[in-house]
Order: sequence, then structure tokens, then C-alpha cells
Amino acid sequence: MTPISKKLSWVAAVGLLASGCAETPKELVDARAAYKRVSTGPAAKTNPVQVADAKRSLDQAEEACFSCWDTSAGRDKAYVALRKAEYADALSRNAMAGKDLEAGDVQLASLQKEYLSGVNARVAAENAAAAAALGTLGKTQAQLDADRAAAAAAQARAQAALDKIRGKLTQDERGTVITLPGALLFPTGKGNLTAGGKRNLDPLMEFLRTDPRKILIEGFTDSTGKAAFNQKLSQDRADTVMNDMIKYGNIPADKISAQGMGSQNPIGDNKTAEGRQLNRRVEIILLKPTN
Amino acid sequence: MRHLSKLILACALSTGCATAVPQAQIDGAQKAIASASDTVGSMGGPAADRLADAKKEYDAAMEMAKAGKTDEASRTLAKAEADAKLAGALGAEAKTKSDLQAVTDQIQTLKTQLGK
Repeated sequence: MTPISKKLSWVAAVGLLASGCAETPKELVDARAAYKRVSTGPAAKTNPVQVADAKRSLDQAEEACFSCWDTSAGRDKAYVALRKAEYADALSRNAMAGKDLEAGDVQLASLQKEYLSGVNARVAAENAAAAAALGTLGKTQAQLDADRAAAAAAQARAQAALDKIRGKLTQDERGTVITLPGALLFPTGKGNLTAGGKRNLDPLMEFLRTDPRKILIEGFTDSTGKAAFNQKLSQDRADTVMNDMIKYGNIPADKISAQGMGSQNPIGDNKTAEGRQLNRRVEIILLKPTN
Repeated sequence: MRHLSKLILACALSTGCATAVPQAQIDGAQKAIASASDTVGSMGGPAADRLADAKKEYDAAMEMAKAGKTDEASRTLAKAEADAKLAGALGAEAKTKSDLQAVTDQIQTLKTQLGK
């Protein structure tokens, strides 16, 4: 072997020894890459303690890997360094996600407040509308009840009054009709009230005064005699009843009117005395309200 | 005397410094695994994978320690603790991101309802 060959052999031997250690373990390559990523990323600012810990572990791994006599120790330390770098990275990502979550919570709370405010306003409006409707309904119901009670009372009073004077109470399309026999009120062939007739009207006065409906007094005769006479007599009798009610019953004049009907609309047979007696009558009509 | 010193040194080297694995290291690994188990729970994915690795490494380390491979056991415990800590961090990250997604969904729903 020449001196040059000897020298080359030594270089080769040293190179071989060096290259034996230069076979960098995969764990160390991964650890270096992970540390590079984490030390240049957000974790360097958000988690500097963990990044520094990863660096220490990486340095230990580097040192162990170049101690050729124990490569497994180097690989293990590189593995730990890799995990520590990943740990720092995960903590950093979690911190950033946590900040996003906090911001999201704030935005969500604001939107929930806005939404609830809208819901509350709608509910309040609906409650107010419901309360108003209930109030109206209650008032209407109360008014109906009162009207019904008043009508019943008026009917009872009218019936009581009619019972005293033997009158008749009916309903027709015009309204409530009180029919009074003419013989109870007037002398034969005359338009003025008898004393008994005045007394017979008295029980009706209070009832008619308190009833809100307008009053029409219609006078009727039988068909005996001339029509003109009967017409005038029926008008006189209707007027007499009306005036008596205005004067003694304090019924407002604008609430009451009178109409002579002559022998129209007979309710009995004019050929019989009994029928003619029925036809001689006065009808007090409590008119239905007109809209 | 010189021979005795050499014998002691050789013995120490051959047993890999055969002192026991420090209890603090064992406790540290155990604590990291327990904490990660709480965080990861029934999650799957990388967090669960790392936690499984940590448990395997811990068990292996205990076997090595029993076999007197103290140095190897210590290094494996270090790996177990590093894996467990990473599992915990990944689990926490997954939970935070899941919460964030839920909040984002709620925000979107409310925006739609408010006509935004």
C-alpha cells in the first residue's frame, strides 16, 4: 500500500465512521420540521413556554442522535421533541379557536338579545290585542246581559200592568204591541177618556216612560157607521191616549206619535157583537229600532 | 484497588445505571394520561390515537422497569407523557372547535330569523 493509498484509507475510515452517525433518524427529521413550523407560527407568540420546551427536547435529541453508540435514545428523544412541538401547536390552535369562540359568544348573546326583544314586543302586542279583545267582549257580554235583564224586567212590568187592565201583549214585525180594548178607555162614540180609562192607562205609564223604544199609538173602530166618522174617531182616540201619556206620563213628545186607522185591520168579525168589541181598540206599539 | 474500581464502573454501565425509574416521572405520566382521558372521553380521531399510544407506552415502560431496563423505561415514560399531553391538547382543541361550530350555527340561524 502506497502512502497515498494509506492516507485515502484513513479518510475513508473516518468518513465511514462519520456517515454511520450521519444517518439521521426519521423521528429527528420530523421533529425538526415540527419545531420549525411551530417556532415560526402563531404558537411562538401564544405559547412561547411550550415552544421553548420543544426546542430543549429537540436539542437533546440532536445531541443523542450524534452519540453514535445509542441511536434508540436519540429516536426516543426526537419522538418526544416532535410531540412537544405538536403539543405547542395544538395549544396555540386551541387558544385561537377559544378567542373565536369568545367573540362568537358575544355576537350570539347580542343576536339573542335582539331576537328576544323582538319576540317580547310581539308577545306584548299580542297580549295587548287579546286583552283589548277580551275587554270588548266582556263589555259586550255585560251589555248584552244588562239589556237582556232590562228587557225581561220591562216585559214583566208591562205584563203586570196589562194584567191590571186586561190588555194583551203580542209581538209582530213592527215590535211589541199592547192592545187595549176601547171599552176600557172611552165612552161609546167619543174620543175622550173616561175616568176609568185614565186609571187603566196609569199602570202603563212608568213602563212606557222607561222603555227606550219609540211609541206609536194606533186607534181602531169597528165597521159600523161611516168610514170618515170612524177615521176621525180613531184618530181622536189615538191622539187622546198620546196626549195623556205626554201630559201625565212624562213621556217625551218626540218619542211618541199617534195614527187613526178607522176600521182597518180588524181582529174580530164585524158581523158579531163580540167581534166588533174586539175591533174597537187602541194599540200601543213599541217600535223596533230602525238602523 | 484499580481492578475493583473498573469492576464497579463496568457494572454500573452494564445495568444502564440500574437505579429505579424516578417515581415523579411515573406520576407525571400517570397524571397526564388521566387528565387526557378526562378531556378526550369518548372522542375519536387524533386525540384518541395519541391517548392510546400513551397508554401502550406507559404499560411498556412499566414492563421495562420491571425487567431492570431503567433507562429505556424512563425514555418510554417520557414518550407516554408527551403523547398524553398532546392527546389532551388535541381533545381540548376538538371540543373548542365543536363549541365554536355550534355557536356559529346558532348565529347563522338567528341571523336568518332576524332577516340579516
